[in-house]
Amino acid sequence: MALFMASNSFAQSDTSSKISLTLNKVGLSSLITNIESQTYFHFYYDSATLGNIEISYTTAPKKITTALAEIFTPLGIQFYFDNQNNIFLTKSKLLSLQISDNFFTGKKQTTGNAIKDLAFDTEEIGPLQEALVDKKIYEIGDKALSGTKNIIALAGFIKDNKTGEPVGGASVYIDKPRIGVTTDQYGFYTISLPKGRHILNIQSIGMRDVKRQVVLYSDGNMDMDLQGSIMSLKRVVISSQKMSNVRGTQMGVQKLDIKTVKQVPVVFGEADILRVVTTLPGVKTVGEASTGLNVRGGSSDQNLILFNDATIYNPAHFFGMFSAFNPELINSVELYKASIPANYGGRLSSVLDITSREGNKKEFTGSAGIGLLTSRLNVEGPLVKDKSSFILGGRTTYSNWLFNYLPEEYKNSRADFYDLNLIVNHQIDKNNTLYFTGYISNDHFNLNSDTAYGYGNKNVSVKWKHIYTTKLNSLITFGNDNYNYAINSQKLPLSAYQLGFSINQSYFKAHFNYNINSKHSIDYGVNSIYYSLNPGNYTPLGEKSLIKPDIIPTEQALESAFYASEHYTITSALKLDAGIRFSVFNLLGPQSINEYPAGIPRTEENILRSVNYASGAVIKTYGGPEYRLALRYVIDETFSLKASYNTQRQYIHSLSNTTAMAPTDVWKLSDPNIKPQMGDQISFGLYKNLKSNTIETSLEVYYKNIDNYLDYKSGAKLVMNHHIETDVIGTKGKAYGVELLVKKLSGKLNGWISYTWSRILLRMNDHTAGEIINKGQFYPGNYDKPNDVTVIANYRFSHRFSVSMNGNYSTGRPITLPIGLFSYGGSMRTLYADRNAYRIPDYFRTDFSMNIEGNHKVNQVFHNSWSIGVYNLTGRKNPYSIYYVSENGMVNGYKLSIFGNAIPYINLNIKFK
Amino acid sequence: MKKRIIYSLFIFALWGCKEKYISPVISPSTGYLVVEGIINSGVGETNIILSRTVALSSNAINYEGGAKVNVEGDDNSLYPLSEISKGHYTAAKLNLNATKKYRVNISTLDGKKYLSDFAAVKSNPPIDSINYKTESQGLQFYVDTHDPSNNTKYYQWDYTETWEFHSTYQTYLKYKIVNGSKGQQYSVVFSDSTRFGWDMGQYICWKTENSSSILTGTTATMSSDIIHLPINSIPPASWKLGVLYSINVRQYSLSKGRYEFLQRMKKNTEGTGSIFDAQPSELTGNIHCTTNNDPVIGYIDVCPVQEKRIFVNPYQVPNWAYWLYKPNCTEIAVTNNSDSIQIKSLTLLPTNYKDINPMSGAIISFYAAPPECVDCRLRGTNIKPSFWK
Repeated sequence: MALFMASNSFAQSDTSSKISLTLNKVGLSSLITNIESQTYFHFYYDSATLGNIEISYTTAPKKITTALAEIFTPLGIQFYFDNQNNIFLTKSKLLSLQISDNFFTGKKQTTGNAIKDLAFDTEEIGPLQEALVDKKIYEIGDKALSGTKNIIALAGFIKDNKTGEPVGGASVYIDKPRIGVTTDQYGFYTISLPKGRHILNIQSIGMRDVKRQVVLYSDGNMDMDLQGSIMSLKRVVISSQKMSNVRGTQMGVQKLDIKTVKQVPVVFGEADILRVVTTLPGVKTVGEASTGLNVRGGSSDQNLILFNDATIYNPAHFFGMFSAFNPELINSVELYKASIPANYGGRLSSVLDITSREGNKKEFTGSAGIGLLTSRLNVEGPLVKDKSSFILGGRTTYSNWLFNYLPEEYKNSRADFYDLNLIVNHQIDKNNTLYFTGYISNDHFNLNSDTAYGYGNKNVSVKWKHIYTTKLNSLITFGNDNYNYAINSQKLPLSAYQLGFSINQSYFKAHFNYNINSKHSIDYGVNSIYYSLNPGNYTPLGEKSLIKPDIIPTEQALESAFYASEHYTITSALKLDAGIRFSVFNLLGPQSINEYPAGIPRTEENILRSVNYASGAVIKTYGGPEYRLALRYVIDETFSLKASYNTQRQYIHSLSNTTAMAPTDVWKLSDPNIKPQMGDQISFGLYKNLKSNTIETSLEVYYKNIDNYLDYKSGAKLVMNHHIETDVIGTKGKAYGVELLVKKLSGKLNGWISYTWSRILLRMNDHTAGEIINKGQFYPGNYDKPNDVTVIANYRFSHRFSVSMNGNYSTGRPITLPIGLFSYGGSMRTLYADRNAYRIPDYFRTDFSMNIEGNHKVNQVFHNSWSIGVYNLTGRKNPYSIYYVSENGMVNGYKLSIFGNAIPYINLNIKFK
Repeated sequence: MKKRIIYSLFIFALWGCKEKYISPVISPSTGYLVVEGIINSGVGETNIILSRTVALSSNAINYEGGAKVNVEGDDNSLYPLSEISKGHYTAAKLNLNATKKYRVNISTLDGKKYLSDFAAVKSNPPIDSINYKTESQGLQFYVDTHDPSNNTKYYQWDYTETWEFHSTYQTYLKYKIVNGSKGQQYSVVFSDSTRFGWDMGQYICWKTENSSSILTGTTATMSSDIIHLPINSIPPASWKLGVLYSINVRQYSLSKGRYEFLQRMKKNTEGTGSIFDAQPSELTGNIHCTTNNDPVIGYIDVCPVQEKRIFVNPYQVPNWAYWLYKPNCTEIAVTNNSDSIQIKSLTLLPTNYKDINPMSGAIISFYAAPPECVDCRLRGTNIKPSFWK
């Protein structure tokens, strides 16, 4: 469908402009190009219905209104002007469109000739509530069927009028009674409304708010196009959540759109999704060289990181400095940290749902970026105009040459990475759309040692969205995710080796959304993942190598889940989301499993026997229900209370004894010796919007229990370990905290301030498991940073110039410091005792950036923008770690800062078409 | 200029900065017993060193003297060790029965008793060779060993380096101080008036150093028990290889337990400082306090110790760049009278005369240089080691 923008005032447009035309059997687009070149008008129309017409028309200079009337009236095309020099063309069809300007204003139509009288009378429609509403009425459905049903289902797609991309996360709602839904990532919405007249509101990030008057007779479709507000001074970024944070039932959900992400200054100027996510309340990292997220006390393996449904096991590039997502291809990022919808599962702490954009369906465009260390290039465009499109994007680094300028000791270091994305979508017909996502990322580095590291993600998925009726739609997804790493060392030929690790998972997801009526809607579906892990492959490298090949047998398992959740609007103030997810985990053969006697520590010496299972045999089954409850009570328009309760199970674990998420961390499936991790969380929140919803505030408190959280024994060996259960221990954890957020996402000054107070404490006091950590007392987790304040501020001076500033303060993370020294092996050495008993100094950093856009001439082929900034403006040497090392017989303590200075950066971005 | 900017930016960026850190934390007084050593079942000495853990702020070793240390066999045999210096207990030639198990029994002065777990005698193949190769970081020494029976699997080495070096300047002069009415009077005279020869005691010296890092190796992941591992390197231009250098490598075979104990200690104390550091962990060995549950650091194994020594001189190493003499040494001329000496050369040592009275043989003026350029004993010993060529 085309654009349906209209206005009550034609007088402001210069409809007296004169045009002259000479056209002989040309298409509509030629006509439009011709007129647009002579005037300031722009045309909007639906190429699907108007694309095939043929026009022959010649005239000397004539008033545009007269000329258009002469051209279009014979073709049955109506045209409207608005007050912003736009001309809209349409043919009447499914929706009958009728303009009612003269009706509401009480004036007689004086200009234009395409306006017909309305078919309604005043009483039926009721008084108009807001003058801003587009004064056009959309009739939905068949008037003849009116009266058969009182609740009408309305569905459709919301798209960006300029690029044809779907607008995900847009709110579609009516005020009286309060009924609202959000579009999914494909821009699709379905809403049940009482029969009759309504004002439908549509709001989305970065788009102008739209209000539509609709009259519902029976179930029907209405697609809408939104206009971007990028050029607008007043509304740079408008949150789709600006009312939904109060109105929605979900809590602990944060959504960021890519424009917000790009404003935040980051190191080397690479817009980085994960870095910005870490500025949200409740999200922490252990330090600057880690993109591992710690959400509400969870470890970094407890986050499900999804990129268009594909699981990304290692979301980092360049030793963890950058995230592996190309910012140019991302549409939005959503982080669920409390009420996780029932269709997600398998991780304890959070779900980070990253969705890509869809390619431009109207024209070929592209962008390129040049930075200090990386460059990127993206192209996109239609495959079949208005039906299918693609985006191809890639990034690579050319940092290697920089190493040549480093001192001798770093000269042999190397670091390379790239990532590639291909996203294709194709609309088969109105009810069927296919989406394809392909993703590859790859990293290679060595830090001046003879050991080279490499790792990569490979993901592919195909999705099919099918709309059965306006009330029922489904999403079927197939895909394969792969993560692998390899380490090799060949300096000593006798012991040259290669170590490989990989995870492969194939999955199937079927998700159904059934919108029963305005009070009830349900989601249900099934997920299934088949895992195949290669836990370690240690092989000789080169002919001289005496390395004995050592291969840990592959592990395989099937994780399946069935879920259903109900969204129940009990009263307009009280709303309940109740979901249940039943997950089942089957560890499958072939595999050999060590058995240990009960009640004594698991050690290699205590292995009772090893049991072999045949291929396909079910070795162990874990499973159980997971509950997802969320309740919202609205006190008034701008104030609500929410509560939620969640339980989660996790069957795949990353094993790490490093503080930061290392590229060499291994993943392990649950087995008879390693139980699934389980967690439950209860949270409460208050949500209040101020200043007509331009300022959002929220306060959330939570308490969380974690069971079978894996910690490692002292001196654990995690790589190439055939009996890894002897080196890890299950601990219990508890996490609790308060999160405060004040967010202003519109106006010249926008940004947010978040404050978190939180703790994560672990305890290992099971004497039968062997080593007791810290005498069985609770000890802080590695990322226990109780106080954390973040300020993100952006000030837009003009269309073309804005500055951003951010600041972050947090308590230093816990570390294990030596408590004494001793002499051994010709050197003084450090003595360690309790884990995480001390803290590194507090962290503080401010960054600054300026974003300068080139001119905004619409028809220019290249659009340039610069971002110039300084990371760590104050140059504070924030300690990343404190360590003690024995050097030449003496013990020295050092404080290591990753960024020991202010780091200036510059980035050039070019958009072309 | 541009290069310079990017260069510095990048260093700051990735390697940030490493600063000395002094912990504000006052460490508790621990004083746990530390037992270092191995029972030598062969013909060499068994050396056990006892010390106590100290506070973090102290960098001095607190040796544990006055303890009774015995090696006990599971056949009730007993071999006492005697204390030769504070904390250093030794026994010569134990020649233990390779089919028995042995342990260490320690009674400290405070009345506490400590026992290690019984350990079997592990065989230890002789070192095949110590060899070297010029590499970018200097002269790299390797140890080569193999066990035809493929049994040893876990190895540890330590070494002692000894090198001969010479002073930059030779001397046959010395100061003579006379206490007179005007206070101390200085003059320079020949060191040995009977024989006009260089004072070789200040010119030729030897320096000995022990390894200070834990060196282990394993063939557990390899198809045959063959070792070729780097053990030590001499940086280019080092004074170690200016005249003659010798390295004596001792090899121990380990149980898996001791190997893991040492690996953990190495990770905790030597392998720190990277972004992906493993977290430090507690050390538990195979020695226990039987009086109470005091922590003890140490792991006792039994094996015959193998040794091998090699000598290298700089002419044997192709393209070896070296300093025979200490760099930055210069001489100045000083008139031989008390005032000149007191003003110009009291912090220097005299080397050679400049002008001499041909009639009386009295020194009129002389050359002087900083002491470390003249007297090698400031950097080593002038006693020739018994094994020196």
